[in-house]
Amino acid sequence: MTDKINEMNENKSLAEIKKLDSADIDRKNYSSSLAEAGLKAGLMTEAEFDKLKTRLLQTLAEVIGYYTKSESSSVKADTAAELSESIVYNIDTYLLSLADDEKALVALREKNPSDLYGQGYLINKKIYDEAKILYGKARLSRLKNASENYNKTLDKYFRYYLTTYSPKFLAHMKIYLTLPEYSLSGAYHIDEAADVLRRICEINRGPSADYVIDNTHVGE
Amino acid sequence: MKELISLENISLMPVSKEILELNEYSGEYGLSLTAEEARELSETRNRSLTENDRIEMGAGAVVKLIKRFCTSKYIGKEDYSYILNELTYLFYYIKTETDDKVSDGDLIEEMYERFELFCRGSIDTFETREVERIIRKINSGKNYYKWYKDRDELDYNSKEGLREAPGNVVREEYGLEHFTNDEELADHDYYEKDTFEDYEMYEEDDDLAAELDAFDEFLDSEAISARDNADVNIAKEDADDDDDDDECGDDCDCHHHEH
Repeated sequence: MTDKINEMNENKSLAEIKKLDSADIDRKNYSSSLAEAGLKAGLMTEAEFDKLKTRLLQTLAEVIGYYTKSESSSVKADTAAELSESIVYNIDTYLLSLADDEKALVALREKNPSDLYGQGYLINKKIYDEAKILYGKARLSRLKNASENYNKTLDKYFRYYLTTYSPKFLAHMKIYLTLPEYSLSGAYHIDEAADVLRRICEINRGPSADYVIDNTHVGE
Repeated sequence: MKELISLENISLMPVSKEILELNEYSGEYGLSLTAEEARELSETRNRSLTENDRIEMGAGAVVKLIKRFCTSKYIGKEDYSYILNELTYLFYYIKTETDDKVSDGDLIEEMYERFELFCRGSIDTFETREVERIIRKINSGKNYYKWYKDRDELDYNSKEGLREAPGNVVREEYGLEHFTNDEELADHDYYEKDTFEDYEMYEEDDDLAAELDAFDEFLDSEAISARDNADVNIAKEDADDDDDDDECGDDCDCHHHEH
């Protein structure tokens, strides 16, 4: 009897996977496009979608409370917009970490957005901590006679980005880089920024590079 | 693409229900709002939030304003609604103008104290004079007294300033506890009482006067000293040498003096 139920569930699950069209899902705007795809496929009702939006507003109220340390019940509209983006980005991070659209949709429908935000925050915080360590390594193992842009990227842009970034309130913040000599150009989120730093570390220790340890930058 | 979080209409949600619920609280002070007045206050809040480009979840500041100002000795039944509307509008204006440097609780206390002590319940005086002073006070922080002492008539201590010092009279009448209700100021664990400086202005004035007196005495003594000594520099050098001698012991091998 139990086997039969499991089999039925599996079949049902397979049927649902077929209904979700991955072409409708935008990985850069995951939660929103996933919810829309779920609506389109009939895996999410309008009532569930409205409920999700209401709960997201509650999450926003909660995060505004963290942001103002409960000292202010109102914030500037720009600040609220930033916090909203941060919430959605953290939720996207967690749902993408599930690596399964169907599971992600179930989580979006059933879990509290506040929890999803918290899970995403933990992931981004870990990446952020890694990025800070990578940044330290990249600055230690820098190229001798490198371009001005390279030095500015390490000493100025990344420094500003990593000191301003907040996985809680500015999880979505991007760094804008242009290093054409290393084919690096564009706006990068924290996970991509960590990859860029990894790449810079690789370049710095590459066979063609003038690898040098510059201790003068350690204390800065 | 449907937006998951839409901020457009958040602040425009009416809060008249929450406002009406406070009638029980304000009723203890003989003040209450009708349903129509509550709706009007809710609309004023929404208008102020929109004009000041702010977002608020829930009734928030209006509730705090009502709870504080219903204890005013100058607000009567006839002008309760009008004054609340004005104060609510001004509250969000000040929050934006001061770039959120001050907490809701601190700002409401500041507004209340000025409304009671300096305006004697005149909302017109509050609006035309005190609002800008509050903004200056918050934005200039610890430099407020230094920068705006004359402009904002801050010379409370001498009692000879441009403005009379009503504070003491009203304070005695109200009792100190009336202004130090921490429960009204904070409803959370993170609260820090002084988010901006100069709250202790009244107490500090005594210290300041004493400090200035001491400085004057110092200047006088310097002037006398300069007059008595024909060559102050030589005298100082001699004094320095004497000091050096005192510091060194007999077995000192410093290069600058001989044993």
